[in-house]
Amino acid sequence: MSVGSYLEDRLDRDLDGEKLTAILVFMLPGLTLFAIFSVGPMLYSAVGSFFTWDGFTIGQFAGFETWIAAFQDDAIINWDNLLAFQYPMGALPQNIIWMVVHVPLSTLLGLGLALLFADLRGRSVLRSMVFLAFTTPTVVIGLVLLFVYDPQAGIFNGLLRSIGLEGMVRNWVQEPQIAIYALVAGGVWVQTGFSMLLYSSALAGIDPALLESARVDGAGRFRRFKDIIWPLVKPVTAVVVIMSMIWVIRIFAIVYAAGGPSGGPGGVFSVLGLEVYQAAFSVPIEYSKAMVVALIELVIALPMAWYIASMD
Amino acid sequence: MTDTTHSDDPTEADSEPTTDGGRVYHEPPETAPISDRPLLERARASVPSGPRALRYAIAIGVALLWLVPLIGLFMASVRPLDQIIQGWWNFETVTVTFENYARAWTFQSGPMRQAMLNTAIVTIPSVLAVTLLGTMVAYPFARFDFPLKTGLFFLLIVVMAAPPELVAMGNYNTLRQTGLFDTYMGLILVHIGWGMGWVVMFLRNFLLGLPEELEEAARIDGASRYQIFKSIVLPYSAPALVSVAVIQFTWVWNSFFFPLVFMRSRENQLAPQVLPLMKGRLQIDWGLVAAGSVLTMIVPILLFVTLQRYYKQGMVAAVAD
Amino acid sequence: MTRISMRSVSKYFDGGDTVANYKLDMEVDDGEFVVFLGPSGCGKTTALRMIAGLEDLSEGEIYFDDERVDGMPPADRNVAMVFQNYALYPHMTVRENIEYPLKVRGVPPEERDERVAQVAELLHIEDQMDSDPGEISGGQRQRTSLARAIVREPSVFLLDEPLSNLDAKLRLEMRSELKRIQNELGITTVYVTHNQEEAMSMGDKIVVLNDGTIRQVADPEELYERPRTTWVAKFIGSPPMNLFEGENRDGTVRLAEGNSLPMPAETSSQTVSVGVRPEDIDVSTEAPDTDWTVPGTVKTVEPLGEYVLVNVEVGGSVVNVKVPKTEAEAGDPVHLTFDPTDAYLYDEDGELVA
Repeated sequence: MSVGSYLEDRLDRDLDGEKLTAILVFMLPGLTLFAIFSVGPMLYSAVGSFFTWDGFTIGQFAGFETWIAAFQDDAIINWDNLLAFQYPMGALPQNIIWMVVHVPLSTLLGLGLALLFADLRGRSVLRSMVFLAFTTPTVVIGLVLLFVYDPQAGIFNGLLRSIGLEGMVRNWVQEPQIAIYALVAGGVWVQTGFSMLLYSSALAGIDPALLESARVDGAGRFRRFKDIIWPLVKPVTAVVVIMSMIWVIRIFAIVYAAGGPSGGPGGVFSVLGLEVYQAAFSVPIEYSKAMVVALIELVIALPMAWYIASMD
Repeated sequence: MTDTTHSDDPTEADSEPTTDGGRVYHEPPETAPISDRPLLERARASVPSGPRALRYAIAIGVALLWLVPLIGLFMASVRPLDQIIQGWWNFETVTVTFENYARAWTFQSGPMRQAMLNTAIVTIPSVLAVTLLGTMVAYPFARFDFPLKTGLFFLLIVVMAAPPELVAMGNYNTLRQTGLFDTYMGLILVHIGWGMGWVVMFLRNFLLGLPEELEEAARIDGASRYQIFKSIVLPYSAPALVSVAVIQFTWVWNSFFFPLVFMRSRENQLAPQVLPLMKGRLQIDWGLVAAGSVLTMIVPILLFVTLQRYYKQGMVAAVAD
Repeated sequence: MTRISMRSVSKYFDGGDTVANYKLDMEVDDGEFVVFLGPSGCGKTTALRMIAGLEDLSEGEIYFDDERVDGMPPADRNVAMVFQNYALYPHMTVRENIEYPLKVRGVPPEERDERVAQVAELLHIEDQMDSDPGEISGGQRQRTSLARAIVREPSVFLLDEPLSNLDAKLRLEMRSELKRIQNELGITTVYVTHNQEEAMSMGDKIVVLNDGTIRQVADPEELYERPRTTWVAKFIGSPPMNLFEGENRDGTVRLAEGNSLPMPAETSSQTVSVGVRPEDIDVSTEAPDTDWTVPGTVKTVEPLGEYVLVNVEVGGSVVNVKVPKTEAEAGDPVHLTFDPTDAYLYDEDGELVA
């Protein structure tokens, strides 16, 4: 081995050492906080969900006991009401129903509005108007919904009165069997702006020559949508659908503001987030239940997030 | 060969009869042939007609419909309760009052004066810190290989998917034990740790597009890694950093769950926390609720309106990558 | 089989503030290959898009044979168009791309397969039929987009700078290929380009456009031999024609350099210019035994193999001269001569006189 190559080798290793130090210096502060306040507490919950808890102190290893208990808890799943499709059905089914109604509606509306605004003058202003609700604090959204559905001051009931449906007037968020849909409508109102924004950028990314070419080829409006636009915005649809689902799974403040920590009368529109809060931070403290329910949320959301991350 | 005749008026035709068999050539006018298009016709041409006009009407209608709930909120915030009860859309008697705002400002169970200040005290440092620290993590993440990189990638995705409730219990205990519970610092740290997930992921994706030649050129010029970060990476990612900061600001300012759990005493409450308290027990005092809501939302909305380009770009990039 | 006529077609944008096209009048005969040639921004693409039906006319009429087509949607005109970036549908295979226009028009599957196979053979892309557009080379993409246009057997074939995204070698190859196919099928074709070599080699007829309007319509030889205006003269040829300023002295041309040319000035304008192609000029270091020359100084000499390009500075402007060989070197004072019968005389408005 020549002196030169030895030196080069040394230099390389030194350089690597220097590089590693640099990486550490860059990453350490951020990752420390990330570890203490995000990863740590998550592991804490993951481990803790398999133990019994006495208030805030960890107790015995309990295996899947708390997990099984959670699925028998009426606040999480009320099996009898679920089979009869009667609210309250428990936070988990209610959260899923919310998702099933909310996601297709907000996605389709978002796509519809994106198409509607696509080539209009002032589209940026129109989009901002629709998107505005998404930048509003969710707690305000909950209060706005209360206001909209108020029997006296609410514009929804005002509208019913003005079209002669006086008999329908009621406080919609207090109606056990309907309240959740009233709130879902509010969620759709908020999230359509988000879907629209993503679809708008996807539409803007389509080469106009493709649509012109289809026009010259003889494709009408509908065919152009079906054969060209829709296949090309499909990947965005996956993102929109998944982001909406994660948004619904995590929903909290809207429900809290509209129905308090219990999630409406008898918990008719309680969601998983609310149950975690109730279990962990109101008497009686049930840390294990809170951890299990929060983990259920993660278990539902994680595959979806993973799918998005691995998309390209 | 014949001569060409030529006229001084450029819009008038001059003919070239020989080679092209009487073809007429025209000199184009500089801008518009206004003379041969009456003003009225031009005006009519610029106004959309038929289906397109209908689309405009529908589009504007829908956009306004989307604003109705927020318009109602604003109307309620500037009118007395008895008029709100009659419906904010009734304009028979309109009294504009700022009393609701005055009451919200000094609201007994949490004056907005204090709550807005608290929100700013928590939001601004946590946004600045997460942006800077996030870039510092994202840069090596995008550029170098190091041990445990895949593991870190996985953790970031897990945290992005996780609900905030999942970390509440652990953080509650941590803050209790360190005496940071119910303090600004405690909530700021929680927000930094929590925001790190998406911020790092977002900036990593952005920095993957940083041309390596830029750094190589700087290294040849003798810049250290820290100088490269300061003079190449940070300026290059400026637009992305603005996007991150705007979105994170909105998120932290609007966030409800973390303050609800970690801020307990009256003087430490944040604005979103105070709003549900304003509902009262029996008859909801809509004027008060509306005024408090408008005060709380005005900050993120103004931010969005002024920096919406960055907000929208960031939103799209954050989920599209 | 279709003849296209444009009658006084104008196109304004921004409510009339921008003129894209102004009073275009022209005919494309049945089966003819017509090239729209002009610099970028001259309105040639807009003109093509109006024929396709992708843009509405502001004024004027377009006829296919005797049928008025402006106002008709593109689908009803039976035109096919090839776009500059090919506009292949990225989510369809080559086969699906070619098949698409037939599918839209409800052609039954068996016939579709047959016709797709035919054009694939014609364009030599049989082996790529099941690839995605992203997987194939630029030339193959070009062929696919041609196939998609041809498969419908359109009555008019429109091409918008179809070769500009290809490298030089492929461009040459596709040029003759395109010409071959057009000859074989005999479809009326309008081809837009800013490349004069393409225009000259392919067009039966060339329409030169500038500033949104037609400057000259001629076949390639005539366009080269008799550019109708100084603008066209300076646009056609590489390097383009040289123009010498001069004035009309009682019926003879006197150049700014002080020499009278033995050529008649059959025009009433006082100032004229004389155009001479670079290959028609001779350069010599010694004064020739003619009674007039144009004196100048050699700036650069570029031996290009086939010929030598000499740039000569004459009275502040540069004259390009193409000669087989020369002894002149940079800095040498030289004399330029040309045969006055090779020269073109333009009047003060830039119109060709003789």
